[in-house]
Amino acid sequence: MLVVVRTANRRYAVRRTDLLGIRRADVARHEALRSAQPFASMALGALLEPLAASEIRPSQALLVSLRRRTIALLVERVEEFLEQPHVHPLPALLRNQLHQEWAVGILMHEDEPIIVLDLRAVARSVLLQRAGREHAETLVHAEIRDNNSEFAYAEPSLH
Amino acid sequence: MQQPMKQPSLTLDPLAEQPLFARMVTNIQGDDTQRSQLLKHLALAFAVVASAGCALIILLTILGLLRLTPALQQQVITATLIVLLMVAAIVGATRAAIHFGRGRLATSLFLYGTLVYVAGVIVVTGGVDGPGAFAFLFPIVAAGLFGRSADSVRLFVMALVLYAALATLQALGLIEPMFGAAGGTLRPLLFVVFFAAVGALLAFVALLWSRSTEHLVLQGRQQAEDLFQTNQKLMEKSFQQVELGSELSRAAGELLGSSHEQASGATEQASAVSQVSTTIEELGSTARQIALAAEQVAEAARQTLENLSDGQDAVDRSIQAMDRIRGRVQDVSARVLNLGARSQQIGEIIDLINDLSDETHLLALNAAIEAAGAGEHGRRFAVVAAEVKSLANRALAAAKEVKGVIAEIQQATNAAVLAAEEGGKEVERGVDLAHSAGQVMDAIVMVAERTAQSSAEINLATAQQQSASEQVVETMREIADVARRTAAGARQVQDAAQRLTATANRLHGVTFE
Repeated sequence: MLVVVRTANRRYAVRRTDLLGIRRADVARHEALRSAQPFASMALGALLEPLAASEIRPSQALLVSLRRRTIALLVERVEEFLEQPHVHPLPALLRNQLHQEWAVGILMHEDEPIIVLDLRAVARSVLLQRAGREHAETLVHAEIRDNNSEFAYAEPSLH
Repeated sequence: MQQPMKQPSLTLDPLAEQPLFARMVTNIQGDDTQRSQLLKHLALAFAVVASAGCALIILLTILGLLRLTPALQQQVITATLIVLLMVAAIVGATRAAIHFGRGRLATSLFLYGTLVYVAGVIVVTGGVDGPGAFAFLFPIVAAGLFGRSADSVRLFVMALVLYAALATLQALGLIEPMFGAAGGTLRPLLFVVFFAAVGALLAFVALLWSRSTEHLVLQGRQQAEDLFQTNQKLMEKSFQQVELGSELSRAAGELLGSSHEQASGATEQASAVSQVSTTIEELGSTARQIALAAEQVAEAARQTLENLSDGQDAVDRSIQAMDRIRGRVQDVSARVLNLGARSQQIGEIIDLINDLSDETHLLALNAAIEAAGAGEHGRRFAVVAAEVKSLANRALAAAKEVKGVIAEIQQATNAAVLAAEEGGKEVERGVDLAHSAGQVMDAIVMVAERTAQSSAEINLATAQQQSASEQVVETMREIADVARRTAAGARQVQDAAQRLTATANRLHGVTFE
């Protein structure tokens, strides 16, 4: 099963099995605060398409649970749910050229090729890149930064 | 008018006014008064001598010393008395004529009377061959003393005629001498008496002649002395006249030059006065034009005041309208702001609906996922979830549309607010401009009033100037007339100066000739 989401300029598909849940971003943050679990959020569009710009705030969150942490990858909209999609694997030539192994296949939906993402790999890369730089920050500080960075999509915070 | 110049008189002494030399030549006795005195003396002497002779003859006759017959004595006494009457008549007539100031008549009466008297005496005293003929000498010689040039000759001719006539009459026997027959001592006595009488009278005449001559000489000397004095004075006067002539010539030259300058100046003055009159007339014409222009300006100012009054009313009305517009705009602005606030509230509600739709969409999506995970049992629930998701999407779409409409409303509201604010500001500026226009209109009204007042003053001033110009022109005309008369007078003075120069030159020449 795949879930089709929309970022600033493009639609992507993620596996249902990679998701912890789908929430509104503010709801997800409140739930994380109530459960006192480390929480991080980052705009998926800004991560995948750094040069793209969107006027719409990514208000819906794709929640991924990784190493007792909840990572919210924000998208503009979760459009639909596909039960039995036909996913084509990436060609070997293309797969060998990728620096990050975030894409796992191609879905043709409504005559449009949609990249199927490995959302856990994306979440894992985010954690690895940020781990060394933000290791000493406290959770409270991280919470404050997370609140302030609600609209700072290019600067995701890690708890 | 040219006055004839009076020739300077050369008479410097009253004596010169009398015909002195002519009088001395014609009469050595001087004037008639002196001659009358001489005649009175001579007549008196004649009366005395004649009376004495007659008295002697009468006395000798009465005493009988003449030895005449009684008849003859009577005739002698009668004749002697007749002679005395003649003498008295002659002397009386002469003195009467002298008394009445008829000197020449007195002289003629005396001389010709004595001539007749001598003729009568000749007849009485023995005829032409008697002693009476001697008596003719007395009037002839006396005529030389009193008469005028030819009187002696005329008396001599008349005496000669009378003597010749008596001789002729006696020769013809027509008259007979009274004492012709007398003899004895009477005839010699008569000769003696006549000789004595005639001699005495001639001696008296000679005495008078001598005195007259002496007086004449003294008078001539005195007159010569006076003439010398007069000549001296004349010489002095001549020198003075020479100096006076020179000064007169110099003064005449200066007068001539001055008259030239005066004539030239008067001509230039007349020309200048004419030019000034022309200029003043042009000034008067200009003043009339200015007065006309001032009247036009005053009329324009009055019309401007009327128009300004209407304009001021319009400005006042526009200010009032601006104030009302400002109030309306402020009211509209408040209403628009209120509408904007309401739109904002609607937007917030729409945001809430949007959030709910979004939430519903996610819930429906999650429900669909869960339903799909439930297998066949979740099919119906999946359908419901799909319907819910569809409704949520529709609500979300509707909310988006409403939000878009609200955004447009808010934009329009903001634009309206901005427009209202701009309109309010424009109205404020319009009010300010209207007030400024009103102030400008007030200033223009004051300026127009001052212009009208100034125009009236200019009109009055130009009228006075015009009147003054006319008076000046009239005065300048009078001055020009005076200048012309002055020029004419200067020319007359010039002519007079030229004549005066000529006169001075003639005087100078006369003095030195």
